[in-house]
Amino acid sequence: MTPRLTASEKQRFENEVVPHLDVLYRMARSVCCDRDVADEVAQEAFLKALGGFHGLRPGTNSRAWLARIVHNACRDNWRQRTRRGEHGWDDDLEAEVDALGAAPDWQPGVIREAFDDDVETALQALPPRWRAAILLVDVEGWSYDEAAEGLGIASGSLRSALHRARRVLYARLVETAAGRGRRMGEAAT
Amino acid sequence: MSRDRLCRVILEDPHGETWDEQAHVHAAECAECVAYRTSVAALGDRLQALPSFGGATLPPMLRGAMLEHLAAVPVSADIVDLPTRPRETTAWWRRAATPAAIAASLVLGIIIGDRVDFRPPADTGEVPRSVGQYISDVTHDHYLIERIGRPLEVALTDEDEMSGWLSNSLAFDIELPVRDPAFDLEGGRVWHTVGRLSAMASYVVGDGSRVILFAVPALGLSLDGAPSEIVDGVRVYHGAEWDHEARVWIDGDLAMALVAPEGHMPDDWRRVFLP
Repeated sequence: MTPRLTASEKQRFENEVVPHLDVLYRMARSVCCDRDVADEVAQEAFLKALGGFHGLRPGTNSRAWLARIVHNACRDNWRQRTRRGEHGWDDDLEAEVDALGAAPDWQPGVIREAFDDDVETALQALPPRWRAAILLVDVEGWSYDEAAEGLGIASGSLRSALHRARRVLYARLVETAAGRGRRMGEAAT
Repeated sequence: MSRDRLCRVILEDPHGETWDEQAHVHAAECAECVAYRTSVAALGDRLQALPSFGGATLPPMLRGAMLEHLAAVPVSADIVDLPTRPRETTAWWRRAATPAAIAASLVLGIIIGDRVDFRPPADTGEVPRSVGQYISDVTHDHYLIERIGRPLEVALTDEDEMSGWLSNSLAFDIELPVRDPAFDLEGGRVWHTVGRLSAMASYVVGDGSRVILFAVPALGLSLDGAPSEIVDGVRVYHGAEWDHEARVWIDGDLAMALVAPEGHMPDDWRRVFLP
């Protein structure tokens, strides 16, 4: 379907949506992980945004609206690609978070000294929805209300998802750091 | 506030955007909390700098393709809202001439009425749409309606009154189903979907969510683009987008669409709405 826009709608699209194309891409990339899939999802989301823009009333938060389109495109793509060993879209790792017990003190060194690959691996092991939440709040600096709107969830659910995501992420980095310590110890002896 | 509770609050929101006064006061004074906040916030900084996460940027080729696509979108003329102005007082001679002009038009219409085909040309310029696009549009419309505060034009709770108002406002007649306790009518409006004017009636259902009925002329709507099944003898097309689910069926010359937030469509919908 070829989208149709009026001249002023096209101008609005250029002013309100185009500046957020990098966020659109980062969201696709962070959720889908795979670069080729992210390219495909980002392009699909862009075309959906273009096709649906005529229905967006002036004054609506177009950045959150765009995030919602990307989120839905990521979700649909994720559900189509069923791969062994990966989390389902709706997973919330309840048992794993419960097993972590009370939140421990965080050692800044664990985060600071982790290799990029370690952080990336820990991120990829999170449920995809959590990665999108972390991206919008921790990386893009969106407010909780705006990020919740972009993800189509309540602000309370977003906070809960972030709480779990940060705990699991940190726990994985601790495990990785401990594993590396053990290997270094073994190498020294 | 317990330590576990504080840890949770900080893990949920290390920057304190959503904290209450008590949490702010405590965190300002407690050295342990300050250190914990700093560590949690450091995770965000680390992710921001990660090349595949916060540092990823749209590849130039992909950006180019998107912008090319945007540039190629055909542009139609804008609809200009003219400023309103006070109604002018009609001159006496114009008031006198008006009845005569109406009478002359009627006579002329009767004389030439039989000889001229006043039907609109076959090509009305209307963009052909499919049921799949209808589903895509109405689920998006429901999403937008929720975002802009359910803008009802009229708050009518009587089905007959609502049907009358919609039929008088549109170029087609619509008859809403008779009152049913499962669907509490709250009002409606004239809407615009799949490129045509449509009727919209909003219902509140048992769990407090909104179910919206849309109706558009079915003429020119192709019946493809969505899976379908026979429900109570009626072919019903269905789909879900924008976290909303839609059921579409043809009733006479109208394409009806019932839309609800996903998982909130009451089972009674078929009994109440299907013809």
